[in-house]
Amino acid sequence: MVKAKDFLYHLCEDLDYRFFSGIPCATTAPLFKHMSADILHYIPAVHDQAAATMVAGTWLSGFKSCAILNVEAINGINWYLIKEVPILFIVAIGEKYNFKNRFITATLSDSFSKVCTSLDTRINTKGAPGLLLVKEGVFV
Amino acid sequence: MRRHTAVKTLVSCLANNDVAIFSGKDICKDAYKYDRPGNLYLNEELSPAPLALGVANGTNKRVFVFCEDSIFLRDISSLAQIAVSKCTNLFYVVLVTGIYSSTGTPTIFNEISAPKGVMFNMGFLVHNYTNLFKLPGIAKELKAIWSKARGPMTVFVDVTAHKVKGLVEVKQDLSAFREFVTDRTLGTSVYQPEYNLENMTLFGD
Repeated sequence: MVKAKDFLYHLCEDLDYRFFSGIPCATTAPLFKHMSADILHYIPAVHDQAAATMVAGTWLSGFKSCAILNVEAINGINWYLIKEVPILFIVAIGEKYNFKNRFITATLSDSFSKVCTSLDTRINTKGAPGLLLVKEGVFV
Repeated sequence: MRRHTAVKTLVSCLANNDVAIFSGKDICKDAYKYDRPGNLYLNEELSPAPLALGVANGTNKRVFVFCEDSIFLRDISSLAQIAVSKCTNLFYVVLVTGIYSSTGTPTIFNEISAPKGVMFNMGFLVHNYTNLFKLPGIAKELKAIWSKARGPMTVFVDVTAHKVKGLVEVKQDLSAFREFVTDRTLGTSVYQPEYNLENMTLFGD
């Protein structure tokens, strides 16, 4: 179990992710509930592709940014240009998923600060998007 | 007016610190001939509107999007989001050819009864430059209009889709674009009104 408030605080204050966008689902709902304008800027998105493209845009304007999506959305995204941009995707996963080593990935666990810091380092080193996979019921 | 000539005129009206995002293969080729720092070229597959909204949120520079009506039609849901965002530094320019430039088949744009009205009702300021582009010395006129315009704004220009020979393929440098956007020393060309009505109080307040 990971407290959504602590997780967001670590992401924003320690790792400096400031722009967020995405489409809520049951797994990531606690994140949206605990978002605070004091530490981050959230831009609502009309659809998954728009969320992914928008966070790529905010990275281009000099800010580290993050999109919160569902696993089905990842397969539907057009990765042209986005694949060259080091952004974080928080992805709610179900029982079945297979990325076939297409992305930098990490699975969220109780020691979230260690997982997030390591993923952030890999994202910035490779200059490519990274996926933080979140199982159902992890966030409270 | 030909699309290539319209693109040339529109690019010449941009200020040195403006960001311009071109979408669509042919428009990119047209604009690449007049390449300048701050230009980003996208192929037809990626929607320019959310990308521009992301960039506009993180910078105070003016962000212009140039695309054809085929891309505008696909982007319309994201345009609603731009209208709601009230980004004063975002300008969306639609070059209306009425066809898909890759195949030449018609789009539904000209069948929509009032596309400009749709944008206006969403919350955009709407300009139509089709007649303005028939006048001589348009670039000077357009510069003056844009220097005092605030977004979110949509501009429509009717053009013909002639392909110009001898244009080279676009080479994209993402890091150079990011450097340009994040360079705070360049300043901004967003119009700041002399009197800000939003902050004014009425007598007796």
